[in-house]
Amino acid sequence: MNSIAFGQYYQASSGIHRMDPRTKIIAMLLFIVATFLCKNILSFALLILFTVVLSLLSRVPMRLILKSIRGVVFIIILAALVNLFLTSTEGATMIWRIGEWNGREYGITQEGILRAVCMVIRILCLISGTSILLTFTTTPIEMTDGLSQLLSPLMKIKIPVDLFAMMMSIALRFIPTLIEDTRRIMNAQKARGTDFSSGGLIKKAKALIPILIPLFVSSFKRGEELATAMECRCYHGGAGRTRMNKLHWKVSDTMGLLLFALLIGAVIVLNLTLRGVTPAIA
Amino acid sequence: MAELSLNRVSYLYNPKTESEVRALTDVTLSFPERKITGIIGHTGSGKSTLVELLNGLLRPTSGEVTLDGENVDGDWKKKYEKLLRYDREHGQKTNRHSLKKRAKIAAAEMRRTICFRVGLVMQYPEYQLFDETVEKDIGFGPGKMGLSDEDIRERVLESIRIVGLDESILAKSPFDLSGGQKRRVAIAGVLAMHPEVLVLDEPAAGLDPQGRMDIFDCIRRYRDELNATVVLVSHSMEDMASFCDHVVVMNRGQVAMQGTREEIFSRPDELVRMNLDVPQITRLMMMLREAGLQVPYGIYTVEDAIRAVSTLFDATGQAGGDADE
Ligand SMILES: Nc1ncnc2c1ncn2[C@@H]1O[C@H](COP(=O)(O)OP(=O)(O)OP(=O)(O)O)[C@@H](O)[C@H]1O
Ligand SMILES: [Mg+2]
Repeated sequence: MNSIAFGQYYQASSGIHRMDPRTKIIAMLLFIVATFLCKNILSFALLILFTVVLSLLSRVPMRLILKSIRGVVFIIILAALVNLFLTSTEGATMIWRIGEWNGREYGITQEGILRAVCMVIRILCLISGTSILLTFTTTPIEMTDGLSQLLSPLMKIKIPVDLFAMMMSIALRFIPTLIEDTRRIMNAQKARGTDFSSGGLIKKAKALIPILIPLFVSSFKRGEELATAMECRCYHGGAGRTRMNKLHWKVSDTMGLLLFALLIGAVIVLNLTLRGVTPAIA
Repeated sequence: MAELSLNRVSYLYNPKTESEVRALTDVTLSFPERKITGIIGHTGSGKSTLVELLNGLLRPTSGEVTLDGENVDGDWKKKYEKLLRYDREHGQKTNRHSLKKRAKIAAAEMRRTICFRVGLVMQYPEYQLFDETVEKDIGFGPGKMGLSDEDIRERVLESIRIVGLDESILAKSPFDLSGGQKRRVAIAGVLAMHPEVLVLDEPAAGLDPQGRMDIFDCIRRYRDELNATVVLVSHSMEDMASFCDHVVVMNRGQVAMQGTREEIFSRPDELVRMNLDVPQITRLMMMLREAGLQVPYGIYTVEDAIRAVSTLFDATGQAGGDADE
């Protein structure tokens, strides 16, 4: 199979790339918990530091990470505005009073600004941290493997995790094939005079029919052939199947997880010791 | 007139990225009119890339593909430069604005018509079939050309005859046909547009010998009836030998040899160096010659060989009956 030239995976050799996907999935959960536990400026500083170190370790170029953030700029702005204007003004230091409505005061307060800034930092760290841990450094196939292993206890209560994993990896396997098919069929129809670029919405949608039908036909045919081939090799469900690429839990994986646990610990300690010293951010 | 030529064309896939691939380097070619030109080359030598450049599906990274002197990819800037140059050479005063306008109109016209003028049959064309009936599918291209319903019907009937299928097939669904029939329906869909240049990428791939012969017959019939130029990509030296007037040999994205088939097949050593070969029957004749028999040069088909060997037997006074085996 070609080296997965789709999605956001960034080919590089780093400690984070080599980590076990299970570690990365758990680490991501820990990281998310840590971002939500942050309650004061110092813990946010620690979070930023941690994220920066993580991105340096992963060898993913800053440009790509910033690009992944671009998709959520709208959400970030919205969150900042909501926090800026709707933070409770009771007992807060007013900077710019807007007015009163329904017996409540509205305006920009020092606390509001602080909360908005922290919310932005929280979202930025959340997006870049999780994308470094998963999308950039883990191939979709590794991710499926890791997830299915982590969820395998669910098989005890009759949830067919292995079947879902198989379906998932087959789907992933066929994405490049599908892209190539689409390209080929599009070229063939272009050669027969279909114009995909001009015309209104309806005309464009109509131009898709000569692509979608052959694409469906060939995909169904592929699926059928694959099913036959799998049955010929005696595939019948996942029970008792062994793996070709076994996941190996290494010492470095344990260390990595410990580091993330340490992050949570540090955030909690900072929250407790600095209670009342620096302004708390809910 | 349909003079299709490439002038110093290079093509890169994914230029300026890590996955950059140099598919064609400095290719200069022209396809003789009303002749069948075969393109042959080892796998990955850039044949399909070359073919997709011919009707503007791909744009050359550098260089130019022209049909009757006009750039096929419909880039108005190139046309504009050409008009400017023409004015300068003829000492005419140039109105840049009107030249730009003229260039844009010409380029748009070229983009609209190029697919109809250079008809491309891609590798495994049966994947492009989609409509409810064979008739509608073949009529798809002519419909895009804006022809009237009667004209479309006429062209569908004509092309189904050229590809040698029965009219009763027109009402069937294209998905109910056999592989060889699907292939011919797909080719008919391109023929129905009456391209001046017909380009086919491996039209006979995956067919049995009879299926191959049928396909080649219908290509030849089209050439003869419409005086078209044909460009044909094939892996098979045998097909090239029995079918093409001219041969272009590609190697690693470059034109290694081009000329009439006699010129090409008289240089077997160079062909072998490019992982290609002369047709088996030609090789056999060469071996006979080396063994001291007086067989003529330039034999590429089994029929010619039989004839040559029979005359040889007749001349030496032996029974000619064995030659057919
Ligand atoms: N879509 C693409 N993206 C990147 N590289 C490509 C693409 N298509 C072809 N190539 C590369 O360009 C080169 C020429 O490919 P091309 O398909 O033109 O070869 P070909 O002569 O048609 O081979 P074949 O006889 O196997 O069909 C090859 O090295 C191929 O890997
Ligand atoms: Mg090819």
